[in-house]
Amino acid sequence: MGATAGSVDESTYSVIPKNLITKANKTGTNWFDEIFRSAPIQNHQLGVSGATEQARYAMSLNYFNQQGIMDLTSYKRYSLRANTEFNVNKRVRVGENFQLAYGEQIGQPNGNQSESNPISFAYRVPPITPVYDIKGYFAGSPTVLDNSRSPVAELFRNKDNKRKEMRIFGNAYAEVDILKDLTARTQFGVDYNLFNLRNYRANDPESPEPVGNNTLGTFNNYEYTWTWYNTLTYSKALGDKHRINAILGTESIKSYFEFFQAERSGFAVDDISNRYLGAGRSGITNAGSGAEWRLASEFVKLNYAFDDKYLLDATLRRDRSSRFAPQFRTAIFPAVSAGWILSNESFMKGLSWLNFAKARIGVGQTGNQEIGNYNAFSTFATSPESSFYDLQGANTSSLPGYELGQFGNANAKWETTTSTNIGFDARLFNNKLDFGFDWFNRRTTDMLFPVEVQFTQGVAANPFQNIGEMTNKGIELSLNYADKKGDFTYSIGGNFSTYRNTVVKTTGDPNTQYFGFTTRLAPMSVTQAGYPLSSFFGYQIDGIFQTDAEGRAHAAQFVSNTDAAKATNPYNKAGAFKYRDINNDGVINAADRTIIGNPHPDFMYGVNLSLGYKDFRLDIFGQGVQGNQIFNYVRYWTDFPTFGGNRSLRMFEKSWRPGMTDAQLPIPRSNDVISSNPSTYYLEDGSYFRLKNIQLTYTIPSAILKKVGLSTASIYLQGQNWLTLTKYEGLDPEINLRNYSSGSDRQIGVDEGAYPAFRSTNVGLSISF
Amino acid sequence: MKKIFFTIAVMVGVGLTSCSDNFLEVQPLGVLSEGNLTNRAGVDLVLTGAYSLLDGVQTNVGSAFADWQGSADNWVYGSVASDDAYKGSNAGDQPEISVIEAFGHTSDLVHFRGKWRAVYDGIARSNDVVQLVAKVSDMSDVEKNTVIAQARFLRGHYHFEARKVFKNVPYIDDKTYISSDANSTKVPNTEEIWPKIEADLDFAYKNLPNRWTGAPGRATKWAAGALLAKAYMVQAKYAQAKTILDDIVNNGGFKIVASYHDNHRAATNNNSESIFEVQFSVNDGAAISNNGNRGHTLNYPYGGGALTTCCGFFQPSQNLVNAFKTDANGLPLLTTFNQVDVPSDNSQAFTGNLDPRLDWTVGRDGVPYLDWGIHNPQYVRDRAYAATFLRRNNRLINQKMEV
Repeated sequence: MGATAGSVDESTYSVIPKNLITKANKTGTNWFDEIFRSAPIQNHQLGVSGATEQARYAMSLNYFNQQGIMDLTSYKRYSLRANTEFNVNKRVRVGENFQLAYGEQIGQPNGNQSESNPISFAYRVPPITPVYDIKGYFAGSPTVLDNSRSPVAELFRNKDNKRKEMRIFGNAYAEVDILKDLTARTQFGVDYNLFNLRNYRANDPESPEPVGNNTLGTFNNYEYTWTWYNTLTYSKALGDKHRINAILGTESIKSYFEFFQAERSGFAVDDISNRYLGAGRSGITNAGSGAEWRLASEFVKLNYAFDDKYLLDATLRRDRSSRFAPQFRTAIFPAVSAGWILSNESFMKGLSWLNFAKARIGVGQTGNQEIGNYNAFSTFATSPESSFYDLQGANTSSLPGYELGQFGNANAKWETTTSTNIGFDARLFNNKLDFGFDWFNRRTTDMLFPVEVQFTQGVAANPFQNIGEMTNKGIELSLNYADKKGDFTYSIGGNFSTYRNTVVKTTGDPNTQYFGFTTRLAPMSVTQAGYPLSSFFGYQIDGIFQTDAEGRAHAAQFVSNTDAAKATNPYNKAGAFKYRDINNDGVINAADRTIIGNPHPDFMYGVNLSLGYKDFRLDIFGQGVQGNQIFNYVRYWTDFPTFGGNRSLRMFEKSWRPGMTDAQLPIPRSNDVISSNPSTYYLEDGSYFRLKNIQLTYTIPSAILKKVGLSTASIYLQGQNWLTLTKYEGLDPEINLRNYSSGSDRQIGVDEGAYPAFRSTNVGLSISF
Repeated sequence: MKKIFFTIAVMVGVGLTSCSDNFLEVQPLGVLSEGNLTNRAGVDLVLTGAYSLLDGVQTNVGSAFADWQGSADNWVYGSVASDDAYKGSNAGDQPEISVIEAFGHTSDLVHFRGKWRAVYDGIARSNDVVQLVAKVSDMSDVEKNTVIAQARFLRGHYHFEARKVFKNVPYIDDKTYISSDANSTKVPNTEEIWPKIEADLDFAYKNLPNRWTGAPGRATKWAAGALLAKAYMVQAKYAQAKTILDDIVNNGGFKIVASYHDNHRAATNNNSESIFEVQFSVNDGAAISNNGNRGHTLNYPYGGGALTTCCGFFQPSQNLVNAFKTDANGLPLLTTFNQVDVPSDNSQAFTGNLDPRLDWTVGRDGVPYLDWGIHNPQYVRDRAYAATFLRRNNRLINQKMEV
């Protein structure tokens, strides 16, 4: 670092002891280009099916191989699927559907939405760092610049860390026609999973903060869920006008999960053949545990139709879940809906342009039990890290201890959503125009949320509590028009939906706030009565001070409210963010954080277009989201003096300097630790429109096929995600929820550098004999 | 055909009845209920868990707080906030500490929550012990009393920490705290808690043994007395403190070690000078040496081929180094010490007198640094930003916290 060309003796190059020699990349390394690539996908499927009087069968083999768009990541899957059904006699049928799948995945190290994954390093590594040093070894950044690691090296070292998964799932069933109108069915399903990963982390001597010790973690998981489903179905037409369908059923589910993991370090060599726990000599740790949950339900369903005009559906369901304490275990969820097929009324028959019209109304309840498996229990746990202590003063051993690991909440009960639906469907003009409309109001009561317990209560996993009430109101519209002119067929359609989410009530105190996740920043999501779920939270920025006088005239920003404190305060000077004094107390501090944005969209829409001419067919499908905001957390790393890594062009061009009235960022100061707090600066318009799918299909005429002994064959060319229209500056505006076992919607629309959707072009051939 | 029908009917019948309430009873796996621990062995396990937070380090259960923020010696809230040390590292790393250093912190600063969590979790664990021991039937009253005295020592200590760092805090005792009621500790912080800290420590002082055989990490009468005396001194109640301190000096059986550096070596932990130490252990089965003074995990030398690589925080201030200057008699220069700087590089000769303890406290260029050899200037991550000295007491199990 800092040496001029020719002044370094390259013969002193050495990995151990570390004397790596790297030349600055004067043109700059584009780290995104270095880790992303175009990659092929293969998908082959071979199937046979057939039927006799007594049996039906189908079997297919599938091979799927997708090389990731991120270098050295991939997913491979082999699967076998078999369905059979036998008629034991006229009244009894027995069958099964099973699938066997083996998958191998090499993902990005450290997972998605992590500050230590290759995407995050790609925007942090200084571009002056080249990919390789003078000897072709991975180059690291100089410690004086930044501590980020080379994403290329990270991916290379991760390339043999395969996540292997073996999955068996499916069901077997038997059906008996007890009477002419009465059928009994019993079905037993299973989903069985085995998972293994040997995750090796080799030394990274080039890194500014090298790990210093290679490490292997081995993970074995085992999981099964079985579902037993029994129904008794009665179907009867009474006279010409009445039709009845009734189902009585039970369902029980049992799920069990167990994991074992172990870790060692100090491996003599990095060879793949040596990456087994027994070869590690130090840092021996291991852990294991299990979990289970069960659900038992009974339900009855009644459908009644009168004269194909009036329809009535009613359902009553009783659910009992092991996740709640016995006294709150049981919940009953009724639902009822009615339909009126207007087009079957005699007074409508005269309308020749109307083919079908139906009005619908329904009210029903559903439950949510996603609160983890043991929410009701207060439990004590033991862990060497957190509850062991060296009472004997031995220095190299400690005595085991226990601590409260989870606060139980035995009072939690089912969260219930009551939905009211009013809808209308119609087909007009010889079924060319298809129209659908729905209005809905979903009211969620006893909303379950992992409330942080009193800060004076100690630390253990927070239990879910029933905190309040929320509504989602909205409409859904769809319109489709299809027609045919000679050899030319076409259809054009669109759908539109919108919802408004409001948290109606929490504890009764409108100031009660439930926060989302803490990153390196304080939480940027809050759930509070009167606002949408997981609204964005932080400071409101009202521009940038152009003069010192303007800064001093404003409220004292993060200092006490005295002229002396303000006079020397860099945040009351020209070039600093001007924060809004929400509580009007003359001081800007944490109390001025407020709700600053909404991750929920104004509306969502989709369009589709199909054109067919003779044997050609073109399908186009696009969808969009409008009016939502995204909290672009990546800006914390690229737009503020966070560590010493790469900075955005935005910071270079839009930082304030004297006279710059359209600046977006404050004057850069290396010790500015305030401006990066969650604020409106991070919010971006998340609207986008994306062409999800374009497909051109050619069906080979059967006349040609017959000559070569095929029954059907087609060729297609497909493009996915070819076009995205958005103003969002991050990698991808389609942001998913943070991956979290339960309660993940406490934070919505926060982009921590999420893995982007990829654009793909596929060529396919499908043949049947 | 009849036979098949019969089988299915039986299956459906079982299906409808097997979902009895037993099916829905599950037990958490790999963890214990309070009932499992309501016995002598269980009490000891929970008590060890309460001791375990003396280092201020927990694992992060479902949250994003960094474990080291609770570090028992308060390097952030004490040394960095005072003139003893700088944040260190570089400007962009852990900028919140700079805010604390400059007294610019707001109530949402996440580091304080890290400290708060550690002390209030310690309090909760101590209360768990007190509540548990009351339900146990296989222990004598004397045994129970000794356990309660240890738990109250710990509870007093954790509250002392809370009082020291946050001032207006609530005192949570075993009558207030109910682990199954998330709001049980929602109590006001309007009352001065010194009397309750004193009551806990006084109980411990009067009920703990003088020594524990083979367990120097357990609280003793003298540890409780020393902590109580410290609580008095912080409140300027010197007479009350002196009574206890005289008792410790006269009856405690402690003596100053022959060599100053014995207070900085793992081999001489818990020596004759030591009244109470936080015990650290490495290679004890805990991941990332989490019991080995994890609170200082960011505070190792950064570059220059150092054995550890992260992260160069907590660097001694020039002011601290200057405070080691002495007069000809070896006494500190109380008012004038900071007028001339002691250079960081001893090749620039400093002609004045220095207390030899300086080089047990601070790493200086050119001076041997522990057993790592001569202090390498590149150990310091960013000399332009964070001064040029490096903290000395870096060895994993070497760090002591004295009460």
